[in-house]
Amino acid sequence: MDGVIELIGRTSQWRRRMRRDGEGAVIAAWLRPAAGAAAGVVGVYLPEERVPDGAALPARTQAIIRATLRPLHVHALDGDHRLPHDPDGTLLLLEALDAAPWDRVTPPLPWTGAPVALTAPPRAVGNGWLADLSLPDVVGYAPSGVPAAVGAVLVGRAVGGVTAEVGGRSWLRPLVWLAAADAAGRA
Amino acid sequence: MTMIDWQALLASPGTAPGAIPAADDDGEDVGMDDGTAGGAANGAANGAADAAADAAARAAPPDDALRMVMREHPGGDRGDDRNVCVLIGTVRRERYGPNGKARPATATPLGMRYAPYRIEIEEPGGRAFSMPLSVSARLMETGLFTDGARVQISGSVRLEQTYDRAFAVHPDDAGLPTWETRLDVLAVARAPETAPDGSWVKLVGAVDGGPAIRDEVIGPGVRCPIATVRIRCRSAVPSIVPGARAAHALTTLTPADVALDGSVENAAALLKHGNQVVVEGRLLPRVYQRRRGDPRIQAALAAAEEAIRAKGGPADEVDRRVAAMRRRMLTGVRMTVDVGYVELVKGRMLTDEEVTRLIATGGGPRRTPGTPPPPPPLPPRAEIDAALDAALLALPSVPTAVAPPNGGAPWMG
Repeated sequence: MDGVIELIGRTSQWRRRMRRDGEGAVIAAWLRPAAGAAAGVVGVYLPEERVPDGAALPARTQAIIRATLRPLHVHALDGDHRLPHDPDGTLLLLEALDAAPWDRVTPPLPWTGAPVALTAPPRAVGNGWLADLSLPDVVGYAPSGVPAAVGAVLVGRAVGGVTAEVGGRSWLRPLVWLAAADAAGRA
Repeated sequence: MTMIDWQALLASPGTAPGAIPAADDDGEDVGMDDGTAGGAANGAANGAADAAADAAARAAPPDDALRMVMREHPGGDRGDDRNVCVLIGTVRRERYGPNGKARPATATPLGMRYAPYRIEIEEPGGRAFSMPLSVSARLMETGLFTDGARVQISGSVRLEQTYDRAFAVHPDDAGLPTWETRLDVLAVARAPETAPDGSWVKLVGAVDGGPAIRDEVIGPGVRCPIATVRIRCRSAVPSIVPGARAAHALTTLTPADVALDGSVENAAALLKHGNQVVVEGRLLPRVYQRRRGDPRIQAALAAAEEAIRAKGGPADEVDRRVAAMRRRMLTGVRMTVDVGYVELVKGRMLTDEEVTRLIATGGGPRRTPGTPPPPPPLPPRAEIDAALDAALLALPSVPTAVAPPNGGAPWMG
């Protein structure tokens, strides 16, 4: 299916979190991907209406998640990774279509990727670069290659995020991983 | 091991309290005559003091009985009578799970193993409760700790910090730190057939901190003010070698409830910090409400509510289950000493006016409203960004879609 990203990884406990952009709640978990187009830590959620029995979701185990890239702001709970500019909130990157225990055999399908535009000048980090994207609060990261120009449309090839403990809290930088661009800035 | 019929001994006349030199006596205690410091100065008053001591002996608790109980402790006279508790009840091994398996013995960080037991007490007045016991392997060898055995236990009570697992929000969380009144069992024997269930506690020590005063509802519209105080007891721990000069002490803190309705004489002596007192009473469970403003309690309540809502069901049924869970988790039970006798040894008793004022204000300094600690200040944004950059560079793997495979499985991230 177009736009569907399949991830395999270890899930945390699924917990209810309130949306920041309006009323309602979602059932969300943090996923540490082991396979698929992802790395680091990814927040995954399902609308509360779709999971009448949240206990059936695979928690604290290896799971296969089929999801779409649809970032959502929620109020953070104790133990959540938080956004540096919004310490009371956090960002969940993927809306899950379904989640099931992984059979440890089936590989995830490749992801076709998602187009994203750079909205700020890139900043060098190691051999790669970071830049703000058209997706709010999501940062584009290319681990290598030439930085693209502001306004360039690139293809996000993977999702994920990094976390760091500072001041007794865990901070999150949600990422869309960009393919290395050539000298002309083409991905 | 033989055991003293302490009830018979309680009924027998005893000597005055203080006849045994106390570990933390400073020689100035009122009513104490240790025959050493100040002996000459006290000589003139000895006649009057003897008369007073005789009078006190008639009304005093039977310290002979206490000493005999203490002699029954393993080690003979090594203990003292500053913190003594005698319990008669039925022993139950703690069990867990639907299969009724017994909980395994717990090992202390110091390598000792303790079997988890509870003692069930059904007092003649109709009050029934149980409390945890720590039973060492040495006492287990007596063979008296079997399920359903009715025993008489001697020991001492103290507050011990533990963790309430009901408030653990993830498997590695120990739970909510809480203080539990525990009985350290020193001696045990079969309970006499004729002796009823019950308990008796004697504490000799100092009032620690101000009281917390609450109104206990004893009937429709009828309230009785109850003060909760803490008694700090310092017991001497003698050396194992006779004649050794090293002195050691064991300090324990024990919660005590005293009614301020006039039923307990000299209750006002317990309301002032630092007063040296002798207290007698019995162990009773006290129900209290936990502070719902505590962030750890809030987190546990939120997690439990999420778990209940995740199971689903009719909305009103889920709401009922959530409300029941909140009531259950916010209600705690702690064993406390229900004071029935108070004797002021040193210090000052509060006047009736001071007691009335204290009841009106709800207690002393300990009663300050609990304000949750302020959240830690946010670190500078630059520091967070630098840490996130470092975390990004330290990521162990890069998704295959943005980096060529390096010989691993083609679909591995």
